[in-house]
Amino acid sequence: MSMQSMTPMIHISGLKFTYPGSAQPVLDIPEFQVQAGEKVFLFGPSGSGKTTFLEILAGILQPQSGVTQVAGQDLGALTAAEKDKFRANNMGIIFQQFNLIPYLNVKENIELPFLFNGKPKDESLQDKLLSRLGLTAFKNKPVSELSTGQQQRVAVVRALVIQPQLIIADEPTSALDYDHREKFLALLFELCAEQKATLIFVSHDRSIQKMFSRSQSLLDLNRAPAISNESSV
Amino acid sequence: MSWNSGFFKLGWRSMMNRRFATIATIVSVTVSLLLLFSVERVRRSLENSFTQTVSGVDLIAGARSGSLQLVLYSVFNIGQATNNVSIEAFEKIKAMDNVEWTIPYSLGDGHKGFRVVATSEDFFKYYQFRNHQNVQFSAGQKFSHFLEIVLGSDVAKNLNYKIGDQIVLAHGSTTGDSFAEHTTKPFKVVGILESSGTALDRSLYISLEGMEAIHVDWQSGAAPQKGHEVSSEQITAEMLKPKGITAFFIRAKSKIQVLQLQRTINEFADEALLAVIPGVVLSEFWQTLSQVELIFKIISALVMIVGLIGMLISILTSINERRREMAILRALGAGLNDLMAMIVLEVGFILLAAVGSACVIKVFVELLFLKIIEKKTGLIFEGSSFSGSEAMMIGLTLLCGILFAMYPAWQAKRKALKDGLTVKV
Repeated sequence: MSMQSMTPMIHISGLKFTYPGSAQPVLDIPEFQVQAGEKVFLFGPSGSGKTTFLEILAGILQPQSGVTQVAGQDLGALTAAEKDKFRANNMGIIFQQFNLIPYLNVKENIELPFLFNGKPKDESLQDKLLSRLGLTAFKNKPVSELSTGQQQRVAVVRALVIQPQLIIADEPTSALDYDHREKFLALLFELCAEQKATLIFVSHDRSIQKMFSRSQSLLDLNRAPAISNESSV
Repeated sequence: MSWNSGFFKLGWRSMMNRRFATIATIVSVTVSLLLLFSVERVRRSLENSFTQTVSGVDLIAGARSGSLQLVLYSVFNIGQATNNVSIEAFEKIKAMDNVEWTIPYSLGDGHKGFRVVATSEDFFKYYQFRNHQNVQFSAGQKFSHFLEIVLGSDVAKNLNYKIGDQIVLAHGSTTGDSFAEHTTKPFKVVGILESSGTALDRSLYISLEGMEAIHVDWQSGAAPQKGHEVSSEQITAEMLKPKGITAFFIRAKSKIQVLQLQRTINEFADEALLAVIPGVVLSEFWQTLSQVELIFKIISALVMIVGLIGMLISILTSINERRREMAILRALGAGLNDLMAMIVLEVGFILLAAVGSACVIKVFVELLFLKIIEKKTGLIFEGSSFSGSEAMMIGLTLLCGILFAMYPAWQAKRKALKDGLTVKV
């Protein structure tokens, strides 16, 4: 435990990423660190490389150069399959929307990560999280019966139920109205603290920035010139 | 890879979410497989019917012509004889030491599209088809008078004849209706044969004497002129003595003597005769027919490929619909191999379901309809439903199907790589 608390949750140095076939790098980050337990608000306009950055953190994209360490693990040293396994065990990811598989019910959606990480299911943690997020009554309901806000909360349960070290949230509140947004965030912070999970929260919505302990502009971080559409290859 | 039961369950739920497309795909592969199965079954049955119509006959002899021609007209009623065998030559060969029995066939007349075979009582005694089965009666008995007739089962059924009915034979045509009919000498039906599923069912049988009787007053193939008719009552035993036959079947006393006997007949001094071993000729003929068989096989293989392409299209379409699903699974830790495995598993399931239902349908259809099809077509369906050919077809379908699955699996991987965590449309 003591070793882990000393190593940063995220350590990036000299990261450069260029999409294949492109001359311009999308990301060029000399240095970035996040300590365990931090709640980081990462913002930037579209085209600043947010999605690319998250995919590198998640081990889905492999940067051309630099070191990317998550929870002390150098992702560059892992094979693609090992990175998948690492993600399944250590990271909870929440999207802006469409987090859930429509033909599965709430419980089945929550249990999906256990297909890939090989951990035993923790039913009591699952029930506790469902109850904290007010979803107990929906446990066996098809996800199509849930509102957008409820679906986002199911995604939070699913991200936390694997007891991850890192939660990556990609604009999870943009589909919610302001009131719900604050409540959602408060609960997310509370649960992250309880589960001792570090939170990387990406958004371009600066109105919620004040709730975070630290905020970071990707434009400041990234030395690569912004391009109009980061996903165009 | 995550080969746990949950993984299978997830694949199953995903497929059930697209159940219409999945079921349609299974049906299309099933139908293709059933077509392959049917072609194979009919082919096998044709081969059997062809090679089993005559059994226990060592040699077929007739006037010298082509060997295939001899077998075709004598056994299958296809084509005509060029010449007759004199009764003297027949009697001489019949009396040879190494001949066990003979069955004479005198052909040339017909009845409403069926041929008339004039033969001797030995036909009922010795003729064998398939695995040494003798000719059986379903009603009545063999002829004992020269104006009595025995019907093959198809003849009786198609023309709705019963024992005791009077039948007029047509002259000079073994397949179609003829203008000239032997109206003055009708035959009485005394027996109906059991169905054999061979050409036997499509013939009428009279005695050699009967054949003489209807032609006794005919001169050089023309109907008698007025005043020259000979009525049944005027016919004497001397008139009924057969003068010639078309062909005859021979059984040798022992197998070793067959070739010897064949040579003796082929070198027969009194007239030009030809003796052939029917099995040899028929399997040679079957070889030439195998071209047709090959075409059938190619067509059914093409149908199978169309079925599999249908599956390919359906899966490729589903991959586009499932890109969100795959991005979610990727985020949760699914590897690219897991996504590919899901596609291959799905294809495997579709193929196994198709093979399973095709086999079940085949067995049921054969149980329910095979007897009817046998009666209607005269094909014999013997042996087990599944042979090495069916096993090979199933194997090839599975193999091709899985090979076909590689492309959508690769596509899924490519799309998942491109999409990462967010679907880029």
